[in-house]
Amino acid sequence: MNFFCEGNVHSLPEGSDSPSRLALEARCLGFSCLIICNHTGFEKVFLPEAASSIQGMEVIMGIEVMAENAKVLHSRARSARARYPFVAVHGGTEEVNRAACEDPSVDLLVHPEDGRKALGIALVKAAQENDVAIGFDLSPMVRLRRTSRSRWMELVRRNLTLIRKFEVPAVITSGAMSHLDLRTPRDLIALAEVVGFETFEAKEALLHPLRILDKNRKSWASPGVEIL
Amino acid sequence: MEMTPENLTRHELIGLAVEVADSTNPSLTGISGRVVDETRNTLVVETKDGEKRVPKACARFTFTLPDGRRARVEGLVLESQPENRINKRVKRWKL
Repeated sequence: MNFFCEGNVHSLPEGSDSPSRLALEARCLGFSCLIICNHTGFEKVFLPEAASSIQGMEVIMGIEVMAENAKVLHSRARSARARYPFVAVHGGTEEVNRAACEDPSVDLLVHPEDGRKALGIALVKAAQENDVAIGFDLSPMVRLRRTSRSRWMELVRRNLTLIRKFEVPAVITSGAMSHLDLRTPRDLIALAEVVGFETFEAKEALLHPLRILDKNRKSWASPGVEIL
Repeated sequence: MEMTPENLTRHELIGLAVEVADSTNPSLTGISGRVVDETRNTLVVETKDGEKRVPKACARFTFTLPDGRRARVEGLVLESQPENRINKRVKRWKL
């Protein structure tokens, strides 16, 4: 039994499907865990209780923090950490990417290549120290065409080389806005391989969100100290 | 200062009951006893088989506090001279 997890999915009011519809579809496709990360402003998810009653699927409500600058990001991430078991950050501008990698409250930085710039070495080192995973949204692979897609792939390849070098964990996701955008784990692994992932790396990337959740569930008295 | 899991990393560790929960060196896993000495990089644990010196960087320790609570601590967080660790040392990372 595999424990593949979809790490970055958007549901109503931001996407077009309720969490339970997404969970049913994800279960059919072969996932055992789904993390719903709506952006800030769309936190009031439609009927989350219905999603938790679906057997065979674990549905977690997370949040994808959007911020204009570092200061706003830090305050939003800190307040999100208290309320949600999974905190992702909408990557894009260099300032936001850097702030997310330097913030220990952040679990995941999604699509940092959105701002058309690759990650820097200082950023990846900070991500390794603060245990921030880098999320690769594979929907541009399907959505974009020609030169824009090849430029996106180039950026993703550069990011991938860096995170391999510094051993920063990766997460792959379909970035689904509706149940029709969800893909089977095998499809995601295949798309990731086209971009440059190895098979075992892509599989690890699908398993990593569960590890993040396990770690966040433990009770931490202070950095590095776990209460048993 | 009362010993709680929150201030454990800033507290005096000599005299606490400890067990090595996990280590990159398998021969160190399972060592349990009482801490008798501490240096910058190691903890000396008195076990029934004698004194064992355990490097902090490669191990996770389970300390039993005087009130009975147990806390698992990454050795890397404890890695500093004991007299300096008592001052506030906030590491901005989570494990």
